[in-house]
Amino acid sequence: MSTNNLLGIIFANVHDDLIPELTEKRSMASIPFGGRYRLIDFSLSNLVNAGVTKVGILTRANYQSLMDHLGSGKPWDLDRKNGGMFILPPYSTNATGVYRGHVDALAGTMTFLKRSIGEYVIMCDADVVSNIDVADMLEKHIEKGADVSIAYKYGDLPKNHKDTMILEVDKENIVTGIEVSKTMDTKVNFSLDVCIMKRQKLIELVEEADRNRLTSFAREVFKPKLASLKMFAYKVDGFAEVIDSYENYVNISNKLLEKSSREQLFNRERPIYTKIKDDMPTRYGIGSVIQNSFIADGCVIEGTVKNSILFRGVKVGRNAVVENCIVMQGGVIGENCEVKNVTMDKGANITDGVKISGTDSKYVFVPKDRTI
Amino acid sequence: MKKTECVAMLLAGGQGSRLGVLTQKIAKPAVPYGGKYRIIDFPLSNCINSGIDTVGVLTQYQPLELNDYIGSGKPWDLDRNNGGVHVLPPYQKSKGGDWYKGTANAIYQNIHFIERYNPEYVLILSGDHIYKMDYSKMLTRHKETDSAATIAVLDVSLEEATRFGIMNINNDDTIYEFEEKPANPKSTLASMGIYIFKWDKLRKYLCEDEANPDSSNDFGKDIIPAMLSSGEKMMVYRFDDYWKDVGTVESLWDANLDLLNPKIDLNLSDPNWKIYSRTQARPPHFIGDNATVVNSLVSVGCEIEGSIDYSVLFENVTVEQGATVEYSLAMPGAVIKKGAKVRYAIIAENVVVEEGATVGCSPEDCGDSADWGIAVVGDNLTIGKNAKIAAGKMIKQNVKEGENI
Repeated sequence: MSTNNLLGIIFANVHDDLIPELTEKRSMASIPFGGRYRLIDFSLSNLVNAGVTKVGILTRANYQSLMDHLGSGKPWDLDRKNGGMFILPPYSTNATGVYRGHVDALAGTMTFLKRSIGEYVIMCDADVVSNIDVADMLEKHIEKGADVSIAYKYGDLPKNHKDTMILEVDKENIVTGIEVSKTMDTKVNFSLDVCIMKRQKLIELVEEADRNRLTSFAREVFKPKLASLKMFAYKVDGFAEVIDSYENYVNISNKLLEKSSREQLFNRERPIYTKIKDDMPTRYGIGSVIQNSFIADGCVIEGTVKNSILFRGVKVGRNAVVENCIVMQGGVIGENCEVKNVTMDKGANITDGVKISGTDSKYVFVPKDRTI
Repeated sequence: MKKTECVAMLLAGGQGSRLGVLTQKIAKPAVPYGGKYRIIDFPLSNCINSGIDTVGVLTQYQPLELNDYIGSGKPWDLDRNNGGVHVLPPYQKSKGGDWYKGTANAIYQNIHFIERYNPEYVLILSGDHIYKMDYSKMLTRHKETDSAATIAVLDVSLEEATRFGIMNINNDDTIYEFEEKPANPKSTLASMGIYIFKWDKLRKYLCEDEANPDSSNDFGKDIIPAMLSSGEKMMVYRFDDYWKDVGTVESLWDANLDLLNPKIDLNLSDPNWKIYSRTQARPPHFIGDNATVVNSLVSVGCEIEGSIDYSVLFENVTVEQGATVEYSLAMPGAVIKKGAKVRYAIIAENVVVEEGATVGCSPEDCGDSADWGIAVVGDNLTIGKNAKIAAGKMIKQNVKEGENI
């Protein structure tokens, strides 16, 4: 089938409020992750790798850094005559101002949905880091004759989400029960908020929900309508993580220090694309000591780096020790510093000789462009 | 049609035969450099950074990879409505077709391409050198002096001068003589193979040269001497930053390791003069618990568990535990397995060096220093377990387990 038949929708501002440290000046979608990426790169690459050529990105607030990152969509091959990338800022339909939930957001972009030509729509939340075979998911969706397909993972429920669906499935992976906003101590099948359905069906559901002033898909649409909708649950086995707090951001980032995580997430068949910076490869100096670290291009490292993730263009001075840290783009750690268990946001600067440390369970956070 | 002031013509058809296996399947300008670049990134990036956005790339030898690499010119911002980058291979004309017989003939065969832009000046470049240069400054000088031709030169040592084309000049920097590899150089100003011509002048000399059956149709050997003997005004333009010809295995190796030399100013991500390249979508590199990485350049997608010293690792190189890479280049996709030793070597793309194998050796460990050289392993080859490749060898086929070469 023609993959142009699948229209992509990404929710860029989902759950921004759960990570205030990192979303003060950006959207969830543009949170830096994994040394050279922004969270949206994962959803966007998943779509593009399945041949999707038209993607609408629903934004709500703080979207300047996101627009800056996406540009014309070139790195994802989304600078196109037909289709391409569409950034959809809030468009208030009712008197409610900016939208409150997924239904609201979609209701505001009804024109985009109606004017597109794809038979199917895939919707993704930007806070999920995974490498999902979307082409396979669509194929299964059609094969099963499902009305709705939802990607899920078996594991611990994201603690801070209020509307994550817990799915009960039969042998054929058809959903037989949905629970929402339940706290669970055991591992469960939970939705990764990646969802496929016919475009026409989505328009119908959104129009109906909007008429009834509903906002939550999970609680107010899918759960009550389960009897009349055939829902297929698509299992994701590889790396799939939902970022729902700062602590969790640190833990998930650190999973990239495990080979199996890197192999799953940076699968050669389905690469993750991102904005190109044209930096030199990283230069290591004569006194550098590097262990168990994930390091992007354009860094200059003369000190010691252990168990850390370094983004593009980070500088580590002579005799500095950087341990258990996440240092975002352009971070500078001066000579003779000792920086342990710290997250440095973009452009943060630790001047020569400064010692700063957090604990294993709580990394100290240094905000964007801050000098210490 | 809109007038373009200056069109650049980049001679990229050379085989680079002195690079041996490294240019068996690719043209010299496509040879990888500096962990993520190809040699041709330098003239292309220099062009766009100098404000020259119309570039013809003349290809002939093994053009496939080069064509693919250049593509639409996107990575260099050379995908333009007017101008942009154009790959120009030799083609069939109604009166038959010809390969490019020499550098001058290659430009002659593309006169129609140049005329489409109706330029005042033409900049001739080659795809053999590593350097950062602002061609617009050279063009300004060319216009100020109202010369027919301006030739970029580098002041080299007297000893080196015997290996270059040397410009002999008057006090006012005008050229009175050109000597190719002189035994007794009168000057130390070496031509860098970068020329700016007034297009109407160059056009005249190209046509005359083409009509001369005895000509070798070469810029250095024929066009420049012909212009000099006709009394055209020709000037040198002095350049004194980093410039390196990467025509031999040693010079390619050297030019890469120069990136690690703190005394050499060759920053390729300087925001004021970036060198652009076509990049792969690969994750950051990972350096493991047992690795040691010192004084090296490491690119995206590498997985390092072994020991790296004074080396350049290109994209997606794997160095397993206990393996050592010293004073070497490992090109994209190379795999150095457990306990293997790579020293003073160039490992081309996707080579696998199996466990315990040794490639190359240091000058001190090499018995007879006359035999010493950089060992080179051609692309996609396998060096078998515990095999030994001596210094200076050039490997063109797979090496079996335990074999000594």
